[in-house]
Amino acid sequence: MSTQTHLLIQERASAAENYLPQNEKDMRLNFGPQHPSAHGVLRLILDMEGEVVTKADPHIGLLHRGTEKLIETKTYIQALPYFDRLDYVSMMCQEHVWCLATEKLLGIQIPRRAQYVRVLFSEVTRIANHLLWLGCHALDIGAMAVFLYAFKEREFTMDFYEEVSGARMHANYFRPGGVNRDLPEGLTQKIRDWNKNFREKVLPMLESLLDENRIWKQRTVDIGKVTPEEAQAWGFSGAMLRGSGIAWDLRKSQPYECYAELDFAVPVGTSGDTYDRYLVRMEEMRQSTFLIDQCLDKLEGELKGGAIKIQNFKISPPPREEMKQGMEGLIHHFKYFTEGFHVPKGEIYAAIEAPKGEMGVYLVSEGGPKPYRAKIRAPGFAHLQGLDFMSRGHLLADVAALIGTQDVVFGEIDR
Amino acid sequence: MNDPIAQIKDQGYLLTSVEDVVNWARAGSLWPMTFGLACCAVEMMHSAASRYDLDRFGTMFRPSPRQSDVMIIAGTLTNKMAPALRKLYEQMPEPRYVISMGSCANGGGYYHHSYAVVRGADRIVPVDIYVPGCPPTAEALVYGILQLQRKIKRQRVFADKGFLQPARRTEVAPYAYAEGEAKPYSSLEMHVKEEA
Amino acid sequence: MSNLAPHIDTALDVKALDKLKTYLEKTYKAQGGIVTSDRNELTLHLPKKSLPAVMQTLRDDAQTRFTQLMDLTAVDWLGKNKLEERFHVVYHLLSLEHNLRLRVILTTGYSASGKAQKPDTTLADPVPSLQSLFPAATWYEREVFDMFGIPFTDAQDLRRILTDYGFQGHPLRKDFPVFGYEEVFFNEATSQVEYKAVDMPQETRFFNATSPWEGVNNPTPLADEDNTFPNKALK
Repeated sequence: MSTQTHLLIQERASAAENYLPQNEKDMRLNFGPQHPSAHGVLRLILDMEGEVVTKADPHIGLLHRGTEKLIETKTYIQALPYFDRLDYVSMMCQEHVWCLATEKLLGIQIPRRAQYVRVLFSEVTRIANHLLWLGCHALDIGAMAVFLYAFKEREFTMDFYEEVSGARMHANYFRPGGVNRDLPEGLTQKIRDWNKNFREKVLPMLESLLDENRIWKQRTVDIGKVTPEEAQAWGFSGAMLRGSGIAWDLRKSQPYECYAELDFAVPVGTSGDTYDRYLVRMEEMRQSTFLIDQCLDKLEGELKGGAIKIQNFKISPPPREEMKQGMEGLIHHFKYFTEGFHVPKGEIYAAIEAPKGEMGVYLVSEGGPKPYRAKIRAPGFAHLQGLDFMSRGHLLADVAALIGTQDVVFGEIDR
Repeated sequence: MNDPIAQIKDQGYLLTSVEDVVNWARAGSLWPMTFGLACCAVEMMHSAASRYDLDRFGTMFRPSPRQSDVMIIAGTLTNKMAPALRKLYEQMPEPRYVISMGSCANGGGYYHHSYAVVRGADRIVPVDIYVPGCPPTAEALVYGILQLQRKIKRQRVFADKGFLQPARRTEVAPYAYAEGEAKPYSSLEMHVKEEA
Repeated sequence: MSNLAPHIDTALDVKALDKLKTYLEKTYKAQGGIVTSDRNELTLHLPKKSLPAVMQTLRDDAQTRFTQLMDLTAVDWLGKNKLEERFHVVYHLLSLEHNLRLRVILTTGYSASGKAQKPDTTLADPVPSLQSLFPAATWYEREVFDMFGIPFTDAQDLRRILTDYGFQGHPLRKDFPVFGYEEVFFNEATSQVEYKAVDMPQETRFFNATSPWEGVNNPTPLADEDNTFPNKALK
């Protein structure tokens, strides 16, 4: 076993090289990769003039896991769990985009009940994501209590995940052609109760902690202002775009699933600063609770007992009894889980409004059971790219607030 | 007279070995580093937050490696991150412990075949406890931390310099207690009883 | 077409899409642009040299206003295309004003001669950079350079972005093995984290055998009668 040693230590130090301070206040600061407010493994090389940031150079890739390469070696259903692990605070939304991409290539439609189950869990996930964002963002800025309250609620969303899929986080619940299984009995009522309590008690309580909080406002108002032009030029999406006053939500403008039939509002900010984005995300949570209620009404009402996946057993697994008793079902089950299904040749781009912004997949199929190429368009990638222009002229302490407001998660950025 | 509380009430002191006291103190205030790599970090945060509340076990997250005793490798360790992880490990004061949390840190897991992933964090740092799962639930992590506490309580601090070696208590001749003499309180005995 | 319009595009404006198609065909014919439409998505195939000019007009033209570059990536067609057009560079544009998307594809070649070393560090033929036009392109171009080894001319910043410092090769090329060429370990002797040649004791099984199992070929109605679909229900 030959040991080839690249002395990488020297290369790693290169951030400090080629750096000539102009005056005695100048310095270059290394932030991360282990930093409590870096939201994971972000390394920032900050050029400072005293305490003011003049240039920020984020070094990413510290969580680069080669997801896109691995997907090329897996079948479509085996690749699905990678999407849970991309943006690991909004799991089912990521599954959703892969399912949509695959279904679009296959040219299939899924049962209406499956659409409503998907939207229901997308919105539960949106709340889960925003709760984690809120807790960590507030913690970075110095408010500890919000973290504890937010995580208490987040536990309930994870309980719903567990009930429906068996896993607290990486559910692997949405499948091409529908969802894995039907909702367990009594879950709709549990979600309804929690949802009501969340909207009427918890959300106002969380808002009362921060909305008029003097420290919170001092740390967020006028921090990280983004003009609408800048937001478009840098490819921002989601709350980063809406915070700057652009009313753009893929659920409204390019509706997928059953969003066109549901009633909700899109909150839009005015000044494009960190505080506006905070308000936008809080209102998004409230709108999500309305969406959840509408979905529950439908699921308990007219769609009760409907199919939750497509009945073509070449694309979805046959029922368990059929697999145990019938030859046909057994063959379908075996072929589905070993070889997978063949997807027609073509290339498509599917996008959803993930909690963080536009999550897209550019999927190229050459026929056959495995994708030829899958490019994951992560919202955080574009947002983090904008950290440089957003942080210029701000203090070092504000960088933590900016990382928080961008809601970066490195699973999706580094992939 | 095995009850330590009764012994304190009766005699006002407690007999135990220095080793046990030190281990008791170490195990009772394990301070992990706030160091999340990937998905498992979310479960790690949940274990520290409202429902699971790791503070109950004296486990409080510290932001700096220089203040922490245990490193929880929560998530996928990549090639690019490996030198930084090793550096953090070396910055921690001894005695230091490592919990490998989740499949990715245990052996690469779902990303085992990737060109960018370290196939097991134990290639970079010595690992004490492996917590399986993808990700392990918050309960699983709490259980892992309790397991680490047990491991620490079994450790020899002074007599044997070997780090994290199992205690060889049989080599020490047992002290012959007189009839009715107070016996020292030992955390080890407590665990032996639990196991039986 | 109705069969190929799944639930993802329930409210897609197909008329506007057709209008855009004819407009693009008319406008960019001179620059060598070819417009194709597949599954309600428009693709504009462009020659490499006309990319910056066309992108600028796509962005500034009131008819199109593709102000956002949402995605930039590449596809390696090794073994499928000729080496002169081995790579596709793919741009995804979004127009907030007209609520439309457009994909722009250009091809670039790989003119390496002689034997390819492992890992293959030969760069492909350069592509014009869009960093001055769309600032968002900066990191995407860095990523494409990192993953495929496609350089961009006039790029202000073209460092590796995702892979390790000092990484050799371009992992998303089809001739790069998924487990790579090197892996890291901690060397007790030197007290350093070092690289060594990759050693996979267990063979990776890829299950590449294809069978006559075809899945779906024709997009016929796939659900049972009891499933009501949104299009039916709405109309």
